[in-house]
Amino acid sequence: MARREALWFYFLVSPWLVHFLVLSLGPIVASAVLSLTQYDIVNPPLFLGLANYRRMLVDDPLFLQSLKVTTIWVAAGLPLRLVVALLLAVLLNQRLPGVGVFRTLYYLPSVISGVAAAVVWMWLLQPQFGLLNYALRVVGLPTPDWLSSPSWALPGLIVMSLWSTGATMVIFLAGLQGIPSELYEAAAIDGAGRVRQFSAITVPMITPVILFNLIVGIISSFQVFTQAFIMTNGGPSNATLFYVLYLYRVAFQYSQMGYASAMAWVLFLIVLVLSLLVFRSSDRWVHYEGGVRGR
Amino acid sequence: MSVAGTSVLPRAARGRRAAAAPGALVARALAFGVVGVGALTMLVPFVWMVSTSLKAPGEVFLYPPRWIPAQLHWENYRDALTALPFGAWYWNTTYIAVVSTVGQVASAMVVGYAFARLRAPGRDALFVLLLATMMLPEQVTMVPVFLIFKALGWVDTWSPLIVPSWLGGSPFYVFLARQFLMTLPIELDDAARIDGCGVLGVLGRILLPLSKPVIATIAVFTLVAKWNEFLYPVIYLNSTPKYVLSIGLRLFRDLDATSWHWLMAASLVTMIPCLVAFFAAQRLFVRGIATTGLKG
Amino acid sequence: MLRRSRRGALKLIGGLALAPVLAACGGAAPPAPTTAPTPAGSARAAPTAEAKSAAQQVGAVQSTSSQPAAPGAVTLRFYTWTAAANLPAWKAGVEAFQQKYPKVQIQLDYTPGQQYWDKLTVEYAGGTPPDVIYASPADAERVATQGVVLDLANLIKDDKFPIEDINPQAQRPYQWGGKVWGICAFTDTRYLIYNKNLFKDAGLPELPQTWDGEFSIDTFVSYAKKLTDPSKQTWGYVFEDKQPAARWSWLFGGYYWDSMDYPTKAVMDSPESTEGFQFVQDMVQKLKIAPNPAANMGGSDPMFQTGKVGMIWAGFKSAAAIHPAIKDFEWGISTIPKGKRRVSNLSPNGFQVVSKTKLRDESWNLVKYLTADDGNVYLSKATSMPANRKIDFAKVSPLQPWQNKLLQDALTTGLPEVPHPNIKPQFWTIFNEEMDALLAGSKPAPDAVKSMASRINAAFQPYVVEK
Repeated sequence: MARREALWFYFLVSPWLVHFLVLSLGPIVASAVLSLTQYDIVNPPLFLGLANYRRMLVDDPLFLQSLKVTTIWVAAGLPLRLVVALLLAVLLNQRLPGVGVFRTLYYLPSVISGVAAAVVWMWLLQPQFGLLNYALRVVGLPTPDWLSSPSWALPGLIVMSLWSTGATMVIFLAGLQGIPSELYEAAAIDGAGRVRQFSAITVPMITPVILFNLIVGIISSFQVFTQAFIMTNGGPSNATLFYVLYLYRVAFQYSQMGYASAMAWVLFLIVLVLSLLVFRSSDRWVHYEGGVRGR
Repeated sequence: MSVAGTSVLPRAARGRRAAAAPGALVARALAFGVVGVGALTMLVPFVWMVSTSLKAPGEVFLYPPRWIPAQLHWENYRDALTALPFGAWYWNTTYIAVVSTVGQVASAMVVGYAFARLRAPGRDALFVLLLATMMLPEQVTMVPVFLIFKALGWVDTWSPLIVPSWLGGSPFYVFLARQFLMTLPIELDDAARIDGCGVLGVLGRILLPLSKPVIATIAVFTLVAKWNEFLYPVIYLNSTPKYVLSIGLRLFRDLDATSWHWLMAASLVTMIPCLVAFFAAQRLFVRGIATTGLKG
Repeated sequence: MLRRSRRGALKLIGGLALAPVLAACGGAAPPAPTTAPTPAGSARAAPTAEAKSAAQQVGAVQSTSSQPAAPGAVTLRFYTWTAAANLPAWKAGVEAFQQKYPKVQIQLDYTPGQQYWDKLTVEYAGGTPPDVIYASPADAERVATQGVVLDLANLIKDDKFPIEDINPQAQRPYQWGGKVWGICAFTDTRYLIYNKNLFKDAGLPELPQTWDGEFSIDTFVSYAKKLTDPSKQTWGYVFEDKQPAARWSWLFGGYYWDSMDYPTKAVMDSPESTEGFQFVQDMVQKLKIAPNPAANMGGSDPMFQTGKVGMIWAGFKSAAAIHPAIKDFEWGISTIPKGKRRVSNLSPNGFQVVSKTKLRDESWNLVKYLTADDGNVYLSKATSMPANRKIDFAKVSPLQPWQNKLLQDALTTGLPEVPHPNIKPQFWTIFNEEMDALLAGSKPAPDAVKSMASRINAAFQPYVVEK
């Protein structure tokens, strides 16, 4: 019986296995090998040993800067985005008039192409002639130099990222749909208020979805690229030099594929270790209704 | 086996309760207010996009902002859309997005189901590998992947854009499907097995009907991602008749004030199908759909 | 070499994906993935372009479509990243070339922005690069040192190509050490655009129409001060960006390198240059007549169109194609103010032939046509100034004769931003970092330029060229 189940498992995951072996494993191995070389794509790679890794940790202040910026982005931006998205999802899970329209409106920013969105936000955040500061001025509040001062550039991009939490919100919404309404009925009969229902039922029941959004958030936050590429190009004073933006620069502008591959591997390891830590901890806080049997 | 049907009853009960409690009404009004104000804020950049798409090029940046253009330049839409073979590209994009989406949903649900419900040696290790594949930045795998597709003879075809979706596609969705399936009670499977369903029967008859929210989510996300996908089309497509909308959009990306109005017009028109798809799909997020009826 | 038919591979993969679903009880089968058929009506672009608006013409990107290929014609792949609005002009140029050389079909591919170089890199590594590419100086230099493009020196010699007609300052980034890595086709220059309404409101006179006019830096500052009014949110001047801001130092007699021909050392910390950089910092921090350009939305042109900016530096296209759209105020053009020396700048773009090309002669013919023949006129129209001095600028420019003269005069004193050999993009990384600190006022200007020069010199060390 167990053997049959295992065979079914491998049969069902076979499409992904093909994908993995052909399109993922090869490139991953290739980038590991390249990370030990000097390679400009045009000329054959030159073996360097671990020199790229040493350069990263010892000789490259920009690398450390990009790591710092990205860490702030993940540590400050991600929790903010998750909380906002969850609260929105709970609100939009109510039976409100026109809720379908509202859901669509909140999701709308995720549909706008990345470039158009970045261009719009360049205008919104422009310190002299942008709308945000125009509004702040009308109300009589101080007007920060959003994208032009090193201390306000990153906060500016975080504000922008809150605008496009729609996708995360939708995933939470899908998770909320999975909660049997009987649970709320029972809680209401027991006299639990809305806040109590939220903390005692909603949150525990969607912990698998929170786990998903957390892991995906970690991965995608570490790979943030487009906004900074278009809007600030890493500046000012490298205040928005995200890891992948720097990696891109190294790979395609400096033509140092070897070093870029080494950077990719370090990123890979950081994210992998973080994700595994989150997974390990999930036994303690994630509640599975169905569960993976036999764990 | 009519599992989903039982949800009708509790829903009706809920309605009665909400009407009866005045406190709930206040709470709903409050929620409505918060949601409404938030939605208006979200809309501001969008409204500016619409307004810009109707402006003459010289008035886009006027300060203080001019929300209603001096004259409505509807011809911006015509110009932006006839500037390029947008009609053909609309069709190309639709074809690629739809075929990819079908493949993505099918393969994500099947693979996600295997990871969520079936025991096998090596399963957890494979799952870690699946997660790991999401973590290498695209910029680094670009060249090796290109070489593989080139060896397959797929350069300047749509296959590099479509086929991966049929093979699990983005591991995000496999992961999402697994996470969702794991919230469904295992008792459902057991009951179905007793009724004589096999491994695939459990998925097809029991779990899939309960998975509408996650299927809708994966479908919408894939559609939107494929609709806006840029890097792969740019690298793999060489002949203009095979191009997709995202490449066309970037044509208007000069930031030198010449074509912001076109960029906005073209962006708005290209995003409509995604919005419609989302609006339609969100109906599947109807409360109570996943109610199991299995108490205790 | 393992060869498998495409259909076979697809069938295999499709089968794998479908098998589980088909087997599921009650599962509906989705359509099988087949190779994408060329959709019906995936219109090849319309051939006749004359009567259509510029916008409509952009569509016919791929000009091979319009005429049936001559028997035995070869297809030459030609890449550009030029702006959308320029594509009709490019297409016209390519069609004219095909008239002249019927044996060559040009496939003009447009790839927007930075992805152009990503695509080129990936395709070169994969062995399927295009034949002729459009380049800007920094990228041209990079691909030349990598060996991605051909040295054209012998072709020029054999063909007696009049390379001396190309503005030598503009050709400079494409040619060094006896090798020619590309031919410059266009240059751009800088002059001043100003808002006549704001000038009138501030009681200021109009600005001179020739470079001999009286317009000193002091006058510029006093005008800019009068134009700047925080209560109305107007600004006297707006920089294009950080790098163009630094070009003001040239007016004070500075330049970034010790020699144009054989640069050995970065010298932006010379006394004259330091004075210039100090002026740039003062404009933002002390005089407060210009905002920090770090958050400009797409250069100075959009900022100018707010109607709240007195003066900007601008390129040919700004007066010829961008600002004619302004209806809400009047504007005019003038010269850059006079400093210790009269100097403008150049941004020269050109064409290169990819080293792996199988169509060397055809590619060379195309480059010649686009740099020294009618092709250059077609491509330049209203958006760029021909680098070839034998080409009549009046054929290209929609501006008035005195305006054309003002722009052409600017070219004669133009300098390229960084002469060859560029020291890789690291130059700009360092440059931008120090400029950020300088513009934000977080570092005194003399310290910023000192650190800029010493860091660049350290990075430049491995690349110093021998005389």
